[in-house]
Amino acid sequence: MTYLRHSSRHIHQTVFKYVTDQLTVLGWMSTDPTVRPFGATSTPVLVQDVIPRESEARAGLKAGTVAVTLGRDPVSVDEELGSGFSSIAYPFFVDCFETTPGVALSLATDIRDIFMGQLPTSVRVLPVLDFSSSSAGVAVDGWNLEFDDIERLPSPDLDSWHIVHVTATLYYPRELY
Amino acid sequence: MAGTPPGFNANTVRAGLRTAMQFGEPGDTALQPIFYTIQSTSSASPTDSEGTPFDSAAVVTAPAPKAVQVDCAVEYRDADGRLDAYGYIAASRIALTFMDVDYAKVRGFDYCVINGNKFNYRHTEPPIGMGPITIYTVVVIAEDES
Repeated sequence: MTYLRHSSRHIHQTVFKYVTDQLTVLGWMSTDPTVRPFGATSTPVLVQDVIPRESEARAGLKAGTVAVTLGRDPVSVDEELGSGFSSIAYPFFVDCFETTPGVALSLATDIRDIFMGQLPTSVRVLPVLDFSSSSAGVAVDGWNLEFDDIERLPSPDLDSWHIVHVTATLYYPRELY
Repeated sequence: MAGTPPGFNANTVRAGLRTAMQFGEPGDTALQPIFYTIQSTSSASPTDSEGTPFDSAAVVTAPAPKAVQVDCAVEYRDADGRLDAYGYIAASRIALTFMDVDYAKVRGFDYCVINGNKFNYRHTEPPIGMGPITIYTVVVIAEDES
């Protein structure tokens, strides 16, 4: 059975990479307004994997920010009695902030559909990647994430800010004793 | 500059402001604010955007933060350890006021240390002017206090 140390971090990075890759395919990251959705009014997206330190050099919230946040680590659930196959349902939050309410809602809807597997290159089940030795990540044998409970919420603070909540359930082999 | 009285000597005014700031600073320079700017780390192993590698045994080159001391006015805003809703304790803040020539040396700092206590950068207020002199006020928030 494969054990992945600091797994929560690799799982977070796996989802971050998945979102980044999919948004790249959709053109959201492009600096070319003829490629980027709503190019005349939108701002190229930058996906954040960690909350940056407060710094004047990184002043304020910028339009085009997409932040992927991992919530708590829930308890592991034994899927089959005695089999060593377990699951953990990780909550993820993807915050999107864009230039206008319409663009932000469109971006958030795309992100929702990425997790729902609605777009051509998107999937509902994703192998967990180990980023210890490769920035592209290496698939961990037997470790997979399934996306479910996907919902989009508007932020109460700003019109152009939306939050996509998704549960990424990890299925993995675990030594019981 | 429009609005500046004739005969206004910016250097003389700055010198006066500096004298006032120095008068308010502790005589021991170790007790005066020290401003630190975190330097970028580097690693041959894959890292996240803050430079932390995914391999816990990876070698990381982490230069020491750059430290600078400049004259400034220090205004302590004690939150009295006030408990807010849900148990959040409001941390103390300090407002640091700089002249333009000094702020240019510390601009972009990540945290400052005053008498051994670390205060993280929070935000910079809109600058104000004194004729040709620009005054900056930066608010920092305590990470912990002794």
